[in-house]
Amino acid sequence: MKVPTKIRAWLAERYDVGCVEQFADDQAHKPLPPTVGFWHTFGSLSLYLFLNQVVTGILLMVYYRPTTNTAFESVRFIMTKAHFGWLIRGLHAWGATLMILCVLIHMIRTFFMGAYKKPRELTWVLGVFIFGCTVTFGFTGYLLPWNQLSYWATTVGTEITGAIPVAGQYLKVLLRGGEGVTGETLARFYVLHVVVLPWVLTMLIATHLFLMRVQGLATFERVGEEKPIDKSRGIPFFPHHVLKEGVVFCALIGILVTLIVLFPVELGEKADPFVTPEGIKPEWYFLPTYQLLKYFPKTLGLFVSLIPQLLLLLWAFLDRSPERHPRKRPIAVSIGIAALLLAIAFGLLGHFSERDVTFRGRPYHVDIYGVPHALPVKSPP
Amino acid sequence: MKDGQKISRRSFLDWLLGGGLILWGAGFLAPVLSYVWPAQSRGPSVQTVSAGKADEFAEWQTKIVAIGGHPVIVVRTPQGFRAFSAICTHLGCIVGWDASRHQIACPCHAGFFDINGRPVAGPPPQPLAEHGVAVVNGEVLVKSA
Repeated sequence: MKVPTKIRAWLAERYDVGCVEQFADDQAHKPLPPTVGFWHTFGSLSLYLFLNQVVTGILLMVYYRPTTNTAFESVRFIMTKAHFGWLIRGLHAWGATLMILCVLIHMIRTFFMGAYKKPRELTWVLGVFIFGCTVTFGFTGYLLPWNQLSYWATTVGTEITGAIPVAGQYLKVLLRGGEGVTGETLARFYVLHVVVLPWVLTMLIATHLFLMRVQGLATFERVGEEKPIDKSRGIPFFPHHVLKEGVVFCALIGILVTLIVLFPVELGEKADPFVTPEGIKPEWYFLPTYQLLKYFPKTLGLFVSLIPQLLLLLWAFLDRSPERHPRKRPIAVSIGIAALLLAIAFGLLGHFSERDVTFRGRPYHVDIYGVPHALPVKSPP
Repeated sequence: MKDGQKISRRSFLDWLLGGGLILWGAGFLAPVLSYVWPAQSRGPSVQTVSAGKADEFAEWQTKIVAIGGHPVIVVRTPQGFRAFSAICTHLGCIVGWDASRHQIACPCHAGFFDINGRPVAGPPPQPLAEHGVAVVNGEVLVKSA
């Protein structure tokens, strides 16, 4: 008898192995709707990237020291002394960016394909929480290298919390561990980043996946008219869809390594609480909110920036039309496209604001609100 | 409960048990919440810090000094020394001096304050808090409040 067979026989004498095998077989050969294509792989890509974050995060923790005197130096050590430290940090930093991108694309796909509709509203809500949790991961992890950029981005980011009426100041102090961004803040963000958020996200993802598996993937059929997918018209999860995911997984690894090599993650200067550098900008996924906050007073700006997030959370309950196909949902699709265009526009304004740019050979200064002002052209000496 | 008039012994015990469980949970939660609330120590309410010798400051020259861990910007104007909290009232960045405009400027969101600490441009909602300054024996002394 071969070793695996022996192990199976040993387990079968003690546990109901057949039941587990049947479950695994059912899951592996579950037919998926014929509409499932490459766009459906972004959910799995997000999961791969989360696993990448867990593994590289554990490796970074081996050398990282979360105090104001050692955080920056320990990251520098990882980047310059530890073998392949640059690669591990690159995988973690670029992995975070790509994870947020993949979760976003996954949400956009779900929105436009109407997959959030009954009976999958809770899966959508969990997805919104997963997105929020991923962005919070980005925000807390950003401070950990304790460089100028991360210090001031955190100062501005946590200051916004203080604008919440009544509880704002308490929340700010709780988040920072005091009045200012100090070593206490670093310790709190570290605990959130490496202990609290990973467990919260793991549980959210597990429930999200469980619901997705139990209810199956959505088709373009109207709400209440979905027919069960039988094996004759469905795509088998294994090997068809798994192979498709294998292809995108390999592409993802290629993109990740290319980004790490061509655009290495910088460390910058150590945080100085007494000097704010010029033109400090948050990460790309916060740029639309950052720009939006400039047009409104602090408290009003906070509420305005909360509206899209609330809409996102409640969208599955607000959109009551039974249609799923994008061509049959012109209003929802128009709102989605408008929201996307607005986010991109605000992001671009945020990126170019407070910078000097050259457009068609003419220099311009883009002001705080994103309005370009022509600069005098310097004549050659 | 029958006809909404009487509370049965069973439902009374249910309420008691439910309330007890909530209190029991709160008993666990209270120390955790008070643990994560930062333990803040308060130092002396008024501190005086030297910003250096008065003759080291040229007219309109500025310097950032730390008072009790908080940055304060000291400016020498033609009328004398002024000192303001260097934390922008908008989103907490550290302000600096804009020599061309003769104004205090925030590098984060282009907020500007005049020489009295009042916001004159950009998003800052409130003026910068002023600190008392005295020149004693040629030394610029800045008070914490």
